[in-house]
Amino acid sequence: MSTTLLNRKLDRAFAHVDADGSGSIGRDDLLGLGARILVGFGESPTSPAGSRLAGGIEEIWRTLAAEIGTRGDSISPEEFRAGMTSAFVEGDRFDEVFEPAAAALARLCDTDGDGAVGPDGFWVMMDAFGTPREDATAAFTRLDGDGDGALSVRELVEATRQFYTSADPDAAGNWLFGPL
Amino acid sequence: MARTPAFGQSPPCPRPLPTPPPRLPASPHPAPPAPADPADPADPAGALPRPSRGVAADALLPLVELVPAMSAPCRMHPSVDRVGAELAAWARDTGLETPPGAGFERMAGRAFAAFDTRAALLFAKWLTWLFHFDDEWDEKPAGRAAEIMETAFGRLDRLARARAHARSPVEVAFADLWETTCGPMSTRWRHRFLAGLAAQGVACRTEAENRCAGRVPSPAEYPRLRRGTAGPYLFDLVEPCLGVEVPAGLRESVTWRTLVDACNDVTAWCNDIASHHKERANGDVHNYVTVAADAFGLPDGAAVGWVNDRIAARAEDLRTSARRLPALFDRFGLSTSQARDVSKVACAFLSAPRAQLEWLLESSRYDVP
Repeated sequence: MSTTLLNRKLDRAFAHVDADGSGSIGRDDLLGLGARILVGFGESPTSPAGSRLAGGIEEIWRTLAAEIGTRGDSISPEEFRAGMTSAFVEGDRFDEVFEPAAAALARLCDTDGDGAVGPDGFWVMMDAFGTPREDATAAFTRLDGDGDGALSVRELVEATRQFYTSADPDAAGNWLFGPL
Repeated sequence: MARTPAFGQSPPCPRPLPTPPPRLPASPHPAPPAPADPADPADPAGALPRPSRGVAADALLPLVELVPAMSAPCRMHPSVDRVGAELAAWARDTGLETPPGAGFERMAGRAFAAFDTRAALLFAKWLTWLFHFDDEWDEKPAGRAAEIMETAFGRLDRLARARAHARSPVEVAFADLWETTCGPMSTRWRHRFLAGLAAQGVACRTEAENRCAGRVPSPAEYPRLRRGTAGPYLFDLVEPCLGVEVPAGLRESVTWRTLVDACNDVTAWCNDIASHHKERANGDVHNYVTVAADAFGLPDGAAVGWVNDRIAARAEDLRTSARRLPALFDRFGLSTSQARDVSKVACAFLSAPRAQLEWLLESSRYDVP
């Protein structure tokens, strides 16, 4: 088990939200990430799929802000790490709060609704998070264990869980956004 | 007013005499607030406001099935009551007497549900102003409409360029909003806004001429005309409300213009469907349903179906344009942070059709007694 590994991943997650590199994040930053994801898929916050993602992101923010005890205009990397850990890693809120957002995102990546996520849909998500193309390609290759060119929606959700909560150095989901 | 353009405001175009349409909107049947939770996909229409009568709803509700982006409820801004109170105070201070229940804060509260209170309030003020701007020539004789419009639009342009002083409550409000809104915006954005205002003047004048000549516009020319009467600058206001300015190259790209125009078309045509019966009763032909019925010899129901199909196609254009944006973010060299800010603006356009639909359905102003 490696807390260092988990913290590195949570720092990466913080950087995904802190798009302007200011060193702190607020609700607007998370909304910006959500908007960028929705735009990539051409999805409105008022479609069923878009609404699930937008609602899921709001819920993650509410939970995180409550955990940290802030109204949430300025969260530092340390606070983020502590809040994510206590809510979703050591706490029991992942299934209730984080998983619905992860599932909503994975379903958006499944652009033709066949239950499988191909490299194109995966790239739309990665691009929204600011992941370089080569890292996204490496991530997809690593997550696509059987090399059939597709991940199941369920696998992608599981990889998401592993990225945000697992301290296991062998978890495939560590590679969700490419090499750490 | 019998119809409203995008984002829920009535068009500043002269309505035909002798039967002026009722003032907008003052619904005697306030709708319940939109739920804050995401849609239940099993019941996509379940959270729609219940209209007091079914004419507009029957015509519009197929869109909930046809257009995915119109099938889940809008969130409502959590501070909508505060926005409403501040809006009312501002309207009083500027001398604009807005009918109770006009609901502009509810339209803005849906369009800017996830953003700060300032964004929703600013947009609600603009909607309120536009409602009163409309009054500048409403119920004026049709023969004088062009002249009255010319004066009103010209006065606003001069006010914006600081070449005139505000004389009426509408002008005082405009000057106040203009100063608040355009302060952080570039000269280019200001020119864009004023060009939209001028385009609206031209479109309204064309409608006035059509009325005088008894002419029905063709299906080919109507969308452009309607886009003009809707007030193109309303769509430019999303940027200052969110504190964002879309970089010039991206804003002028075909993709972004399609995004904005498609949003304008979808919201304006939805409004046409809602207002069709009322406008027909008033003898106004500037309505997409009337245009289609006239051009293709369709009965009302089939004409509404035709317009609904056009709305669905245009909503798909809106979706496709959004999907193309990330490639343009790269091409125009936007930073990650800029791309996310601009995406917020795009998301406001993606949400607008449903926001407009809910707002239309919670008002009874289009019902024919």
